[in-house]
Amino acid sequence: MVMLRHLQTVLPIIAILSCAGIVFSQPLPPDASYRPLPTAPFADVKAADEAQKADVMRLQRVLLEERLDLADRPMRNTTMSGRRKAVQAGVRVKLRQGTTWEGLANSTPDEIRDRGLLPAGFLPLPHVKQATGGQVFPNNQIDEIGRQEQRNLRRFDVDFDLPDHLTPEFPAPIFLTTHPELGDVSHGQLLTIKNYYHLMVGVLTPVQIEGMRLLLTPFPQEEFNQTEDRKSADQSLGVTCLDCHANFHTNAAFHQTPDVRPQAARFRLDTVSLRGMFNQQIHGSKRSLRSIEDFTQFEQRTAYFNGDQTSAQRKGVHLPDRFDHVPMMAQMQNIIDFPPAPKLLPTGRLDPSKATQQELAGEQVFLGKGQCAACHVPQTSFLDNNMHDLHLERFYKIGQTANGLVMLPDGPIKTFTLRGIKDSPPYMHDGRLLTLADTVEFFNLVLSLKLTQQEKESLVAYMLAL
Amino acid sequence: MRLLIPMSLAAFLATLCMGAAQTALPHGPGQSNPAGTPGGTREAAPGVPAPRQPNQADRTFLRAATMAGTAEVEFSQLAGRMSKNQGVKEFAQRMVRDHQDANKRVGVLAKNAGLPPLQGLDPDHKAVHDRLSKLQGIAFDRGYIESQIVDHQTMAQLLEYEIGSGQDKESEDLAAELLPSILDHLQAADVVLASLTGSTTKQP
Repeated sequence: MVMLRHLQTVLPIIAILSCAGIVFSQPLPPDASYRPLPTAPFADVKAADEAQKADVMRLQRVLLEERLDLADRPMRNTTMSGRRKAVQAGVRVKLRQGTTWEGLANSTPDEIRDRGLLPAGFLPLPHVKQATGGQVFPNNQIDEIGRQEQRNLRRFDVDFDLPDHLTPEFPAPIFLTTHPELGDVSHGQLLTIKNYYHLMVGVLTPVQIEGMRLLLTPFPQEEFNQTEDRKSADQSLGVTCLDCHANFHTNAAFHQTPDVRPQAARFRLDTVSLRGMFNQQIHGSKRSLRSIEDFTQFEQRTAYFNGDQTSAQRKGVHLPDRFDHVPMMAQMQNIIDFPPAPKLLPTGRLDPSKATQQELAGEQVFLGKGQCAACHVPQTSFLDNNMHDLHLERFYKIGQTANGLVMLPDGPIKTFTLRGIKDSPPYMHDGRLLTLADTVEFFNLVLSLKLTQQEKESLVAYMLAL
Repeated sequence: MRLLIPMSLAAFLATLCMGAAQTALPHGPGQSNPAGTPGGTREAAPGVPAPRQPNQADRTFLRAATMAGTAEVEFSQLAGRMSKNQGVKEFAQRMVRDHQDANKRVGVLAKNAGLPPLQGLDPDHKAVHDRLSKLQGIAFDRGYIESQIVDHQTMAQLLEYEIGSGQDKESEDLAAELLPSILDHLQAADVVLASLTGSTTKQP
């Protein structure tokens, strides 16, 4: 009774104060959300960026080397699906001094967090220049587009930061669901606006060819456009969808999430492969766009222009027609198959007559002790069409800054397919994990699995077969 | 040409040029986007602004941090006097300690930036302070903690804004240093609120 009376006096006061609380709080400055117009002349900006570039790349290199072993250590007899590039071996995340993987496995998340023991390589990975951000292309893409189209994808302020041997094979093979009998239809070439037609006519339908044309047409983007607010030396025609999703796969080009502000909090985004889009029901690591059509339509607003439609309008955003262009682009994306996995049965399980003992052992860990199949469901392309929050922030103090990136909790992120996973290093939404062995150590810690060394190695062997 | 210089020597020279260890290591804020560099900014090295040249973001940050920090101490001293809840009192004491410390450092930078000193609370904070003073008991406690949550959310965003958009290295570095504590304060406030409302949901 006393409580009730007390509540009766308290509630209106709380209501008033809550309103007061909302009314009171000063708004943050507008350029914390909206991209400001440049104030310095383009020539000055370019000169300053070029002068800073060596140090920018050096800082990122120092950070990478502190966190990761970047050496070229290929697995023997294991190549990616195009059979040209080796898969990299071993755990690359460096342990902090005085720690061991076993010691970490036997510590609680609180202990790891309070004593700062989480390997730095497990922390969110910064963009090479966090304050500027934007799309950064690897050299193989820049060189080949330059050669075929004379379009320049090099930025004057930053370069790609990971060594080539830690990225996918280039150009990646293309497998079509409409022609599984043909295998790789890429002819070993990078698809561009200059060659797609003569490569694909007779193989694709008119709708698919038109979809591909649109996916290969350059459109203005935040850093590559004709205004003074750009990071390309020349006024650029822009970038194409497949400049990052090269050959409908990924070339490891990265940029930043469009979904977060202020700038310092925007996590890095590694390009995803477009293989197997036909089975994915949510798209975008955080946005959970419900169809490939939605994603295709919206990507100009996001990857191209950082989720800032006002900046996009100024620079010349391309808004594909939802009734015509978008479905055709989607239809082309929907016929890109995963690479062949001859050891997998239609059920998503390993064929015991073809798999090795180690791979079968790995599958048992995957389905059992490893708990991987809880999200990476074998019978649905190793997807669950859900987003999950791993709560890695149990293991580190949030709010620290590394090379301009404020490391916050990652929040819920989409489950990624594991079909063809050996073809798309680096791993995680931001590419912080360089090899499959790194992903095993990561989840071993995050899910408190206490896997043995043998179990860890068998998991890697299993994933190579997917 | 720079590629021919050995890495260690380049790093040493870079440290000399920048006059501080902040840019020698990748911990903390990185380089800014020069598209926002105000005209007439002096350079320490090509493309790198010399220290103590705040841009608009720096000034906005320092002004807002001064106002918020002053309010923090005042509100928390009020809570220390008026609350009878042990958790709230301990939280308030911690706020007074931490924010008095931070305020000193922000004050130095604000002075260097030529910002006029603040006299007391700004009008918005004053209004909330006055309303809080009229409350008692659980109503006061809840009002205080809820205003602390909002204030710390705003402060966290402001610090991130400074880290990404600022130009003065000292201000950016201070923002980067303060942010983990501010987020810690936010989590602590949430724990206190949970205890006041008997809620079982806590932040991890």
